[in-house]
Amino acid sequence: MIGPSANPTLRVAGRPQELRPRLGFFAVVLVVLLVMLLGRLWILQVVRGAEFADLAEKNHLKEREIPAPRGGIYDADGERIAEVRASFDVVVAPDEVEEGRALELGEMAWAKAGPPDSDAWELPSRIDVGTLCVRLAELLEHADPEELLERFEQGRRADRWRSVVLAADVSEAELERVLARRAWLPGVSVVARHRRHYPNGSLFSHLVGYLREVRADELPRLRERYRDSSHGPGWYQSGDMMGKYGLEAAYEEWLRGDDGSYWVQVDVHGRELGRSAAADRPGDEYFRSIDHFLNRGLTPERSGHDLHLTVRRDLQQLAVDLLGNESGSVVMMEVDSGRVLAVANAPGFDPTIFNSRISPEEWKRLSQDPDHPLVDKALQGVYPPASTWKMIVGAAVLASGEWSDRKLVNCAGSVKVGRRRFHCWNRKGHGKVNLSGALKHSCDVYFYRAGLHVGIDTVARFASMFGMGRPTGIGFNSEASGLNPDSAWKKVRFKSRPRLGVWKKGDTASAVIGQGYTLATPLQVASMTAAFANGGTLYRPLVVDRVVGSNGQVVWRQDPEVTGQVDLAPSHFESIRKGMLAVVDERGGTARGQRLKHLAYAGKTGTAQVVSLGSVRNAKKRNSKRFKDHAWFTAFAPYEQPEVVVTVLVEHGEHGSTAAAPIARKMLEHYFAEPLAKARSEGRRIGDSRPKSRSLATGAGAAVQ
Amino acid sequence: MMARALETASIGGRQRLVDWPLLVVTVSLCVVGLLTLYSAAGSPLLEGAPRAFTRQVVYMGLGLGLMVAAAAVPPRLYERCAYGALGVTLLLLLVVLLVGPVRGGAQRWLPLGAFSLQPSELAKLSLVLAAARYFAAQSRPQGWNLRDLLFPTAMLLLPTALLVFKGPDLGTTLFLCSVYGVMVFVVGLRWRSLLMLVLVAGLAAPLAYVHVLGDYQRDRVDALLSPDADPKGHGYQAIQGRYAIGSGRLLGKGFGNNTQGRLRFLPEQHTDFIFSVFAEERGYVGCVALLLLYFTYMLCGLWIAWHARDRFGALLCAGIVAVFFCHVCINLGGVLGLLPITGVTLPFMSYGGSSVLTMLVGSGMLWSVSVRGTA
Repeated sequence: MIGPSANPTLRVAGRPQELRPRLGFFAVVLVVLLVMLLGRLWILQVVRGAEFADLAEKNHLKEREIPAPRGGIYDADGERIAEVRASFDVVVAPDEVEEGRALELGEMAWAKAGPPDSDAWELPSRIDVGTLCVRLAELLEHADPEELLERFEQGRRADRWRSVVLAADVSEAELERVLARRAWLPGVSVVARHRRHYPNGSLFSHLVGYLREVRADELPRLRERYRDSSHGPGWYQSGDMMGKYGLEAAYEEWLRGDDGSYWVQVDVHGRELGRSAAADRPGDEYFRSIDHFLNRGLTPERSGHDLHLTVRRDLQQLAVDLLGNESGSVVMMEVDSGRVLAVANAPGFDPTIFNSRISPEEWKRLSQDPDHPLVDKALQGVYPPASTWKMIVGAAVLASGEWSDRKLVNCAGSVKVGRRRFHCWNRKGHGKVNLSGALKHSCDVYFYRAGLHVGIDTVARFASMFGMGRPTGIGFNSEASGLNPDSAWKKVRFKSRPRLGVWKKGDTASAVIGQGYTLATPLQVASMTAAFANGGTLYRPLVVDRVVGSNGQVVWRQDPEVTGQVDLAPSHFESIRKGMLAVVDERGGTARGQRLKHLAYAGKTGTAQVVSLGSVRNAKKRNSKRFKDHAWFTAFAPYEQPEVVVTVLVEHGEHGSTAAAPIARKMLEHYFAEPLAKARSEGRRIGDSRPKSRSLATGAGAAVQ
Repeated sequence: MMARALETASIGGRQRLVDWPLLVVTVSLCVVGLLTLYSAAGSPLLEGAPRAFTRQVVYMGLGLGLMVAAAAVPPRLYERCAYGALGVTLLLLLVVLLVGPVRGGAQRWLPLGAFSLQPSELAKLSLVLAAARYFAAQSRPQGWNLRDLLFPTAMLLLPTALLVFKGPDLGTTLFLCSVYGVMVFVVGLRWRSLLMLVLVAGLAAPLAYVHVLGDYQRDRVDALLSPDADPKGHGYQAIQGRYAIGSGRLLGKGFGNNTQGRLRFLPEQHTDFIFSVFAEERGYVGCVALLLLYFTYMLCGLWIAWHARDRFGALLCAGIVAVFFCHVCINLGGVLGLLPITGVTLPFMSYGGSSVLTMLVGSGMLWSVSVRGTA
């Protein structure tokens, strides 16, 4: 029935050969199309192959950073001052999520119930940020979806190519929850960071300083600076933290480590499938045959170096405690090395707050506080050195050889210089005083006379020998120079009005009692005091003792460095020191109240006028704290074989003897606590080899009132 | 009936039982397709053979069986049953529209136990059969003009296309029109009429773009014209496809190394975009080989048509080649960024039962004409 024979029901019209021309044409079309497709493939695979291979590789091979921990900072006893701890931030990449805010109840329930039942690898690779925020809010503690969304929008507006931190420093439980649900949070990742931590809060604020995020406009400069260094031009990346103040800034290159990196292979959801390993270890790459991946390897991170300071935490703490609510500064350093044992300022600030974005209110509070918590008063604060300057004048007049330390000057309460009368602080006068008595009583008239006798330029020359008028070279926080005025300086200062630029005797009178133009920082005064104590050697103040690598090896040690030598006879130093001892030790000394029975120490008080009181007419104003005098006290101890110097400045503390000297005394008591206890039990006095009867008794004043 | 058909074939003596070139090419394509699918559907997170692969093996086994069966049926029987087949297909299309479940906004599938049937795939073969039968019986030695085409078009193409379009499935509708067009061309459409059709289509395209196309279809056309305008959205598929193909370079990344597909950067990696995965793994050299296989298959089909003993056989072969041709060209055009991306599968490669079965039954028909219908 079925066969090649014609079926009568089917009409056959025309021969099949009729179709051949068109079939042939069809075949030609096929061949033409084949050629076209092959041509297109040639362009894609051969001509542009390398380009696409690179792009495809960028899809699944991602470089991951191994953040290097910043070096720690330790005090002289190895106590932690600054350290790093691991913290985890939950971030979302703006270009990996859809915009929109699908904050619907359904989504809430979804997020709570967990993922729908499906093959995990077929989940959508992109969702909208609203949904993401709802899901995250479920996983994080104290998080509100609206708040998260707001944070995201803010971050995206700032920089749409950078991941936005939605939750910083999340807890371990939160971290676990987020990581477990990672597949349902496309675009979200957890970033491990090292967060700077200052266990002592504001204790070392100005010394240690703080870190801030590196600014975008700084990056090109940094890239240029480290282009040829071992760190490479990419040492700083956007979002990195950088030391901006204090030792964190000054020792930035030591403290900062080098981040390492490795490569991971990820799928479209960002799930890691393998990672590259260091050259000597096998990686666990999924696609072993892709050689680019194998060859990328791993660059280990190099942690930053640790700083070991000369500063002692206990002394620093005591200094801050003693300053209390006052605004001021305490510097304590070793006499024979310049090693700083404490350098404290009050008020301080908690450096941690600079780690994250600081709120405008907080910034306003810090920057507009009348007590200037952001200023390192010990290094940057310039004050009239007041009577602490008198030691320099004494040195200058002794060096002249024309006055001996026995020379008596009669203080009648005032002296007329030019047409103006300059008063002693004691208007009744001190009577006849020698150098020691003048220091003990801080007699102004003696020093007016002495200063006028040698002239300002000699005084200034000695002040300069004692390090005044230039930074001590401590090496951080853009230390102030202070001001050590002389006639040449004044000429330059009033260049445009030469008549005003003439140095007058009145200027000398002001300058020699550390007022007028004269300015110094507490650190300079401490350094100068140390030079008096050690016989004229000026050391660079040191705060960093050594830099230690992560392997414990000392890579750099800072040795004491002499920056100057005062040209003065030892006997003259002895005379000044004797006067300074009298200040504390003898009846009538300005700091007599702070005498220690078992420790002989020497010092000098100072009371710096903030404004000339005459210019403040308003009595009420005159009594207000802002116009009260600054109180100075600078001392070295023990009197014989001095070890340490301590300098205290209390802003608006009024009298050096009452506001500053007790702080210094307590610092010394703490520093010498053990020897003091021993001396007490032995009935001995440290630093005093004079016959017992004289030393333990109240010393007789050299001056007669 | 099959036994008698085989018997008849052997009696002739001159006739062969097997069209070896066709069979070798077909099986080669099936093997290449399965291997590629194994790699494309796999994932580092997946143990063992992917589900799509095992299912495809079943489809292919079934399809090869059906191919042999279809080869055993003499062309004459196909001619007799042609209109009936179209009728049944139209009925199925109607049933789908009435009772078929809605999946992804479209009604295209009839659930049959564990599998589901896609009548629009059947429609491709039925339309070819019906058109072949109609045009076999009508001869216009001077060529066909548009008026001559009115009746067959209205009777055959229009109802099928309309029912498929209602799906809604614009892609398959245009596909059916293209296949029908190729057949009409082979039958002998006058060049002038062809030119006019092309002109009308050219003018209608912008109008269709605005009025007929849905939003997502417009997006696809836009994505073709400028894929980089929306790299994370509508352009994503095309761009990732290009990365996959291009990254294969000359020699390819090797089996199992299609990172674009296995790591799911390329969606539809085991269905419409499986060629990208093949290109990524095998490189330009592999692509040339695969395209040569495809075109050998089509040229085999045309060779059979050329030598067909009657018009029906020739037209049937031309029609099946047209179906194959449209599949390959539209799919590769989309994947290579020459045409908008449509849901048209790549024969023997893309995952999907209906497509595999349709193409293998089609191959069986070619085989049938080859061994029984050629002079």
